[in-house]
Amino acid sequence: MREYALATGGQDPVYTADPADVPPEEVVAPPTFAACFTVTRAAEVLVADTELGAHPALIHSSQEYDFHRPVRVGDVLECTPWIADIVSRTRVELLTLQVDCVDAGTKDPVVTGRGSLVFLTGSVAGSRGETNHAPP
Amino acid sequence: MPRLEDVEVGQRLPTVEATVDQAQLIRYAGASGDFNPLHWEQRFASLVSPTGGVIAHGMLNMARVSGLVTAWAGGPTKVKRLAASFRAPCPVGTTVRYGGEVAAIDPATRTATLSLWAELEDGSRVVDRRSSRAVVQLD
Repeated sequence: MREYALATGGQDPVYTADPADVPPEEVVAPPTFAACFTVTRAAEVLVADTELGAHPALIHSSQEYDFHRPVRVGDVLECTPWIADIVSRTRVELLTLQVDCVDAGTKDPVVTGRGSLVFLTGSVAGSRGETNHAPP
Repeated sequence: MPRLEDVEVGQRLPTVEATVDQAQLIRYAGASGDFNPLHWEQRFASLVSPTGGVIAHGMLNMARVSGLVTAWAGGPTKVKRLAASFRAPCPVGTTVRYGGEVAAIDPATRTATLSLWAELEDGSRVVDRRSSRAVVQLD
């Protein structure tokens, strides 16, 4: 959380405070810290699913979060990604990826994330996955 | 921490300007775990990027806009909802201006809806003000 706050230009001294001064369990995550356990992890799951045929040539076109309660250091969350929608267009496929995050103990909702991913098709889709790292 | 009584529609959050350089994108990749080479490898970006070059993580720009919101609202616990639409690509090396404005107030729930944006110097909407919002709990 400290590294995330620094990487995103966070100014709140709570993220760099000595744990002796600010107990970690009192530190509330920046709202978009949810990216670390929603967008990033869910995209990995998608791209790893060979049956689905997703590939890393994707662009993140929108993202929304509903926060049911703040996320704190020490929280254990259970995050379930699921495909809410897929729309195929001529040159792209639009995939709506929802991630439901609940408290692992109580199962109470914590964060709901909903993101739109645009998968580019055509010339790029012909060379899936790691082959995209090859030069043009 | 803004009180309902002190907030008006049209009120602006302080604007912030920042340049997105490659080192920041690499740092963000490490912090978030999002290692999509679109954000750090020119060769890969030339194949898939809408600009033909490396572009910033949309979520990094969303995070910076979110930082304006939490600073205004009095901390992350005040943010109930965040939505960002990444309309235009944000090329590495460009300067981005981040801002927000009170778009609506709901006295019943004591919440404010803010419209949010991140724009390049040429006006490109990296985070589009027409569809990017935060809902904030007021005191």
